[in-house]
Amino acid sequence: MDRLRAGDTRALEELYDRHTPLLYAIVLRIVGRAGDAEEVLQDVWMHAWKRADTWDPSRGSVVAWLLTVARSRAIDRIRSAASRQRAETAAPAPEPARLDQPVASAAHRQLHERVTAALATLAPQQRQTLELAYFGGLSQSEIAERLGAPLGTVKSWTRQGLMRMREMVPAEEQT
Amino acid sequence: MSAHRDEHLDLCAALATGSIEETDRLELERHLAQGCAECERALREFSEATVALAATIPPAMPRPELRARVLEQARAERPGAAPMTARDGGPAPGTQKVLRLPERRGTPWLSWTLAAAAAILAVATFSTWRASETLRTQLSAAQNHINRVERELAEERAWAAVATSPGARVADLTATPAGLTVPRVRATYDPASRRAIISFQGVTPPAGSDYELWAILPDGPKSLGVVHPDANGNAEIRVADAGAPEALAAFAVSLENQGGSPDPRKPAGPVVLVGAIKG
Repeated sequence: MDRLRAGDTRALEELYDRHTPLLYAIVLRIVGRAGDAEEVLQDVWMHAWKRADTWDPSRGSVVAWLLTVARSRAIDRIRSAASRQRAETAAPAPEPARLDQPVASAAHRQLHERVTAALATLAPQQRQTLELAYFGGLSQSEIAERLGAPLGTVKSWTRQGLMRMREMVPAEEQT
Repeated sequence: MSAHRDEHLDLCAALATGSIEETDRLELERHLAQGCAECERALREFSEATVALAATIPPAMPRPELRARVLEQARAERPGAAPMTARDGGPAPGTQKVLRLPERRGTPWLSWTLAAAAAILAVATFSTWRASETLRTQLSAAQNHINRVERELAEERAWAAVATSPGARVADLTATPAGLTVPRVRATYDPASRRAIISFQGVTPPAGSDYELWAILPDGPKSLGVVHPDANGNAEIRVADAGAPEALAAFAVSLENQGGSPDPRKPAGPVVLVGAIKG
């Protein structure tokens, strides 16, 4: 990150190659369209490039910071009326290249398998709560309404679900 | 003052997943501004848990062109060009520092006043950053929207030019002897751009069938796609390159099994409509 802050484009390339599979996957999951996802992701990388000094290691890893930016931008995109209108009228963008074979994706695939198994062990309500919050962009009260559960219960599910994910996927296994 | 309570950890989890309510966020900001090691640690842990959550989505790569675009833009825009950074005094995501006043000997009311001022300052600077970040995001979204609309407008103008082109050629396709109850079809072709717009009305193929559009070229037919009508039986097919003016002889429509002919160079079913392109 020091190199990134110093304006070293090689550092940006390395970060891009390492984290794009994860970032693009979540942005695409949220916005749903490859063209929009690419625009959002370009914006995310420009944010990382120009504002690398806003990353605070005491608050989490680089990838956690990048994910926060990416998710936030993706949610903003789907909330904009203009984006919804485009989704109705624009032609579909080409499908992204899936990471099926490349060697570089081996770590991502392993992590994916590990966390998918971890997610499957959560209670259904915990899993649904996390997915509605993180991927769906719903607030806690919206989730409570959607699941027909008290707000306090949704808050507990969120915390317990995250704790469980954290326990089952230690930091050293994350990219 | 806001002493640490177990509920604050719920708020940390809600913040990490981006689902926190506004009132809860303000409460958590107030609490963090006073310094809470437990919540700071929880935020860190929950933040890493979201990485695991995100990784439940199968990894995917965008088109390779994006990498080149990002690097090109990065070379053009060096770091430090952002309107507001932590160096400017505005806390950024994940960088809002807990304001801890040094221990001072003084009257209790003064310490309390300073702590309250620090909390207010923390909330104010965080809010300023939030506002700045929101505006920046909105501006970026608006710019992307403008770019998209401009591209779409240019595209629409290019298609509109097909019909208004002085050299436009029109073909009303008529039923062939094999024709049954067939749609009304008009093809407009602009030799200059080689674009064509084919409009269909009354498209009601028999069950299990589809109409398929063809360009008739010197080397034989070429499929231009299956006709997908809307609820009213209307459809429009836009062909970006229908062929050279000297090559394109006609448009034709065949009746195919659902999904169209298996051979894109030869209709499998009967040709029910044909229309020669005339200058």
